Amino acid sequence: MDKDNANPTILNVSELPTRRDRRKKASRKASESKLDAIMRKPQYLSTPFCDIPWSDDTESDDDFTVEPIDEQEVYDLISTISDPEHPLSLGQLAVVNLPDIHISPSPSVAADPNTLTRVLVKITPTITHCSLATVIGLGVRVRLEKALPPNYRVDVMIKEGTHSQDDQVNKQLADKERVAAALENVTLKGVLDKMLETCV
Amino acid sequence: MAGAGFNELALQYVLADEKSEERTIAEKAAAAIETSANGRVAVGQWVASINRWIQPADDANDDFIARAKALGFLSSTLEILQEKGFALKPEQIKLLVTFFGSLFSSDHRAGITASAKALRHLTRMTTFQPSLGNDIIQNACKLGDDFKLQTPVTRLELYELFLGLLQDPSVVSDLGHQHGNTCGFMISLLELCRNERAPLNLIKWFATLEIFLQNFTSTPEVTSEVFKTFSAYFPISLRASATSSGVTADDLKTAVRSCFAANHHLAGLAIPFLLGKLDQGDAVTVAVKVDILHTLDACLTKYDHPKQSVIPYVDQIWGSLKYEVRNGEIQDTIKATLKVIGSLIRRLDGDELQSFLNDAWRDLSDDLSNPTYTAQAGRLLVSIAGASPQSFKAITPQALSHIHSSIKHTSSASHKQDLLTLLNSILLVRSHLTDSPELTEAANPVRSSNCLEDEKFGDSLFLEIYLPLWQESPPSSSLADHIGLIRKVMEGVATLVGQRSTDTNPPHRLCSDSVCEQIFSWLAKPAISSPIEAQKFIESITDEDTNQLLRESAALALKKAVPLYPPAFQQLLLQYLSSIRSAYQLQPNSGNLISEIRLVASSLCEIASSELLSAKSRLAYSMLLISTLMEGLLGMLSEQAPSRYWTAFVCSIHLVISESLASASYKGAKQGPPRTQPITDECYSEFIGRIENGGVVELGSNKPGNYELMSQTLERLDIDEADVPRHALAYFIWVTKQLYIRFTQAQLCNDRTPGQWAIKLSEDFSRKDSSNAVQQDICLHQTALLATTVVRSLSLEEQIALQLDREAFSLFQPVATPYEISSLDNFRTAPLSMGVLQGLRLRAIDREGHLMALERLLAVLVVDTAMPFSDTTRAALDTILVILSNRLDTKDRIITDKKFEMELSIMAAFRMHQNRSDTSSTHAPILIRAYCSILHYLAGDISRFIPQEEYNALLNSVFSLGPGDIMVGRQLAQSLGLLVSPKECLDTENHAIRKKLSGEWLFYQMVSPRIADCFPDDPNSMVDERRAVNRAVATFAILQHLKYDHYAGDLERIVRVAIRSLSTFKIGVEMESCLIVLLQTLEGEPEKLKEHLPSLISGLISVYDMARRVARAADFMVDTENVKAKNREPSQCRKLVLEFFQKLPASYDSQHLWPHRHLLLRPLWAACGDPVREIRRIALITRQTWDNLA
Repeated sequence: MDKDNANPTILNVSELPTRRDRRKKASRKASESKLDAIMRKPQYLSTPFCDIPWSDDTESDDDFTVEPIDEQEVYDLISTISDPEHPLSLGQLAVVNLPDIHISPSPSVAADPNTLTRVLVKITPTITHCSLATVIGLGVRVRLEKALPPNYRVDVMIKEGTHSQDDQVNKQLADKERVAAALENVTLKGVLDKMLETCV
Repeated sequence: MAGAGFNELALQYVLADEKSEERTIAEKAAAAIETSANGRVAVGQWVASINRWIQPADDANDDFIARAKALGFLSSTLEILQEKGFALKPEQIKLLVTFFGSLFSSDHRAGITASAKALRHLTRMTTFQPSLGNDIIQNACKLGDDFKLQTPVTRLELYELFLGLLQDPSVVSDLGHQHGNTCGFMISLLELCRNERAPLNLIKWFATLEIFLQNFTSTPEVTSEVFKTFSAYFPISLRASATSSGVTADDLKTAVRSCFAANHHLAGLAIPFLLGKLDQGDAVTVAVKVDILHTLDACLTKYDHPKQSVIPYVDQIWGSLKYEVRNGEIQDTIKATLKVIGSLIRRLDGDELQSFLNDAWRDLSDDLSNPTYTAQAGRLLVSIAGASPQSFKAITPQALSHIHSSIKHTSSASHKQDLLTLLNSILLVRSHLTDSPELTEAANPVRSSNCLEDEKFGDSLFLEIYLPLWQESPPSSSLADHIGLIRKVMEGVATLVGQRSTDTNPPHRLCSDSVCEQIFSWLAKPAISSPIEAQKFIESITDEDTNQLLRESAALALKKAVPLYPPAFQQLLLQYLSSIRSAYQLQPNSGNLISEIRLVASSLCEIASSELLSAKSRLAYSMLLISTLMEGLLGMLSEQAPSRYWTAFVCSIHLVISESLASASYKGAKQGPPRTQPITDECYSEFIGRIENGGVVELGSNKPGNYELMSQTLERLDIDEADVPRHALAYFIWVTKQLYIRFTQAQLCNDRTPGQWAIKLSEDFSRKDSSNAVQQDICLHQTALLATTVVRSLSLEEQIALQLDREAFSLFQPVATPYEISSLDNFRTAPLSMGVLQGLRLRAIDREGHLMALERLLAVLVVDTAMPFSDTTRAALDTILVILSNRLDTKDRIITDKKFEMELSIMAAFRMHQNRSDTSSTHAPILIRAYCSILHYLAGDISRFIPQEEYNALLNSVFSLGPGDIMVGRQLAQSLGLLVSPKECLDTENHAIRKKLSGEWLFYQMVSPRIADCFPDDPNSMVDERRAVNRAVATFAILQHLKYDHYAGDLERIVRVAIRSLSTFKIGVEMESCLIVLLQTLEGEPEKLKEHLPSLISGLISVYDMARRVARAADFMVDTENVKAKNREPSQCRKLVLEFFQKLPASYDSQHLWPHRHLLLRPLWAACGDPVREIRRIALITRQTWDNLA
């Protein structure tokens, strides 16, 4: 089958938005890690009785900081979905973009975990007549529904002006019954599973 | 032996099944021949013994297997005879050769293998006549087309026979004599061995051809025939086969390559053939192309008489090869091509070389001016220049002037970068040639005053090319290109510094000192001064990564260049100090400055421990660097700077010391460097005396350094390479001493014993407000860690010779103090004592002193009143307790008795303490702390436990009294983990005494007997219930630190306690320990948990919910610092619960899990909304695993 867009623009994986601090941590020089080893807090000072602040750098090795689910996290969940046509991710093809993800009410640490939260993702098909826009939208929706907690509602839409039939596609994606019916379809389910295989 | 005997042996041989049996029989026959009085008759009978098998019958009855075996009998006997060095008579050999030779034409089915083998052994006998070689070949060639019908193994025997013959010089000369240059025998062989395909056979066949080509003068026709034979296999490859022959494709390639390179007469055939293959363009794969190039390289390197074999093809070779580099894209091909060009040039001389270089330059000069091809032309030029000193001298003058003018005129930044890369490579090549044997051997005629264009590679190159580029102001656009260029300049000047002259006088540096200094001041800017002074090296750089890139390049360049110009190191150190001074004056409270002090010190440390330096220079560099850091520390102390600055310098000194100890020449640094002689008190004093008079910084006496004097002292130090580690360690001890003396002072304490000295902190510590106390403590702890690194590297004799056990308490002050931790300044010097003690070996501490120290420390720590020391000081004191109790020499009866007494009194003290009626809120923490100190004491003891019951009374009572306490039992139980929790002071690196079975011993002696108490006797009694829970808390506090194998034997009961504990433990350390044990069990033996899965899963789900509720409650607390600490424990519990769920599907078949799936999916879904991102990640993975449960 011919591809709708045989030659899409591809972004470099290293240029996609991601959490910066992780990258920084990974690229530490060997000499710096030796220095860290010298300056580490000794075990005898890490007991519950003497929890003194040791290093003058801000302690970033604490994995347990309270952070709400934000747009970047939603982006990280869906940007690794594979495109149904190309061996590339939706992030690389710029089908999903960080500025097109909206969470309301906006994420905050103090929010009650039972507050109903709405996530709206606007996807940008690579070409205006893309026939697979619905499948991609469905993929994003399935992924988020499987990954977000029960108090999150997911809406997926085509970004305004990026598809010739965006109204129709949006209608399909918003219709719960049609989404449920689509997921019953074995062929479609196969395509979706393939797309979500690359998500970690 | 009579004929009948041989007949018998032959029969046995034919009937034998085992190889060993066959050999025994053949040995018997060989012995019979050797010992027979009449050799001729014996040999005749031996040959005749196989008569009954030898006549081929008609096809139907032909037992050729038996016949082959019978012939094998003869060949095996010959093999043994030949091995023993027994030679048959020449006429016997002749007869046998005729006999076996006839089999080639008469018995193709059974005779070939045995004949070939037999002939091979005959040819090796000393009495073998060379003229028979020709007969053998002629006979073998009679096989004709039947040769290829033989099995590969049979053919291999024949190839080995031919190869053996041609390796025999007498046979070679006879063949040459008989056949002349027509070499008829070879033509027959070529005819016979056509179409060989078996890899092992080919290897032998190619070797035969190679020997032929090397040893025979043949007509061009014959040479051409031979060439056709082996070149038909080129390029050779090997198909994957089920039966591996042990030959690789590379073996085959090498064998064919040797044929190509065997004789220069082949040049006319081989070189055009190879070039023809190469010029096929895209039809040739990369692997084949590389093979062709390697083969060509072998030819060019090995052919004799280059005037006839190489020179006629120079133009043709250059014509083909230059395009491989110019237009090539594959690195492997380009690399191989450049190697060929190098080999080609090395075969040229005089006019031929000059004319080749002229031609090549004509091609290259155009390309160098063209930005598209500069990089490729550069590679060609470097390979030409680097081939030999002659080619370097011939081509570089024009190349340099061309590069110079191109850099000046080009406007493209990338073109400039390419040209600069080329120039840098020429410099590298020149350094390489200067070190080549051709130029280092004084007698070599090539060596002359200017054979590598000395005058062009000094200051002039710097001034004409590098200086203008460096001074260019960065363009507003394409900043990245400019940075690339600057990095290339850094790389280039680092190599330029090392350029040396080639004259016969001792070689000297080509750059003047002033240029070298300028180069180092350039490089120091981005690597040292800019980061410290928080300035940008290039103003317009906005991006931190780019800045970092420049800094790393400069540091790398310095690392390469400093060993080439040693005076620079001192310059860099002074720059480091002056930058710190000026930065501190501007911004005394900058966090950045503190971290840069350490980071730049670590770059300087890398330079000082560079592998390019000799061990002696490394020592000198490390000493200079440490001295500089001490000078920096001295400056900060006199400025009364915040103690975080002191810590930065102390850590940097520690880094230099540990790098120096670990560097290549001191292998096995953990056990201390290998030393020819130990450090004694005398040699230490003598060496340090020299150092102290040599201009070093002295912290104690506020004496700043004198760098000139220091450099001179270090140069004059007369130390053998092997003796460097000893002196290094002596210096490091002195440095430790300096730090200790600076941070402390002695004071007379007449209140207790008149005239007794005690140690307190120095004035430096009293000058600041108390909010700085924590930072000061950190500095003291870091100094202590440094002391440990130094002390543990010493041997026992050295530790005793230097009286380090005393120094641990006097802290290197020149006064006598008792063996106790000084109580002045609220014991704040404790970490310093701990630092020294932690590195001491068993028996390094005086026996009396050891016990005294232990006793007095316990008296301070196990008390029922609040002590004035801080938590960190208490941690250091507790650690000293661990160390002292661990290093007790339990083989010493006096010590063990005393220890026992001491433990009884601790026990009594604690009991009294515990029974005090005052259980107010102020008393409880004191009791807990005292209990923890006892646990620390026992932790050292358990690590090298004594199994006898009577020695463990204290341990027993700690287990009974702690969790049994009705008021604070729960907290005491939580602390029990201290007994086995990981501690650095108990690392073997720190010479701690550890017995392997201590974990198991503790479990079976103390924990296991008390597991039953984890269930209440009377479920309705609150007291009973509380005690049972405490006991469970204690159990898991210990188990979490043990290995799974230690407690696996009692798992059933442990799992039951764990399930009960899921509902009785608080979310926090208690629950954490229980979850850790459950996880370890799941990983170790999932079967044991199988029957408990329903209760485990439901229990864990409620633990997760509870942990989330606890965290939410903590959010409402006002104190933010506390929220963080409070948050950690519930988060850890939630993480462990989810990890447990995540591991279940991998541990059990799905039918066991399916019933729980429904129960679990909803909580997992909710867990995807956990407030902590890391936990959400685990929840998501777990949810997916359970979702996909088949």
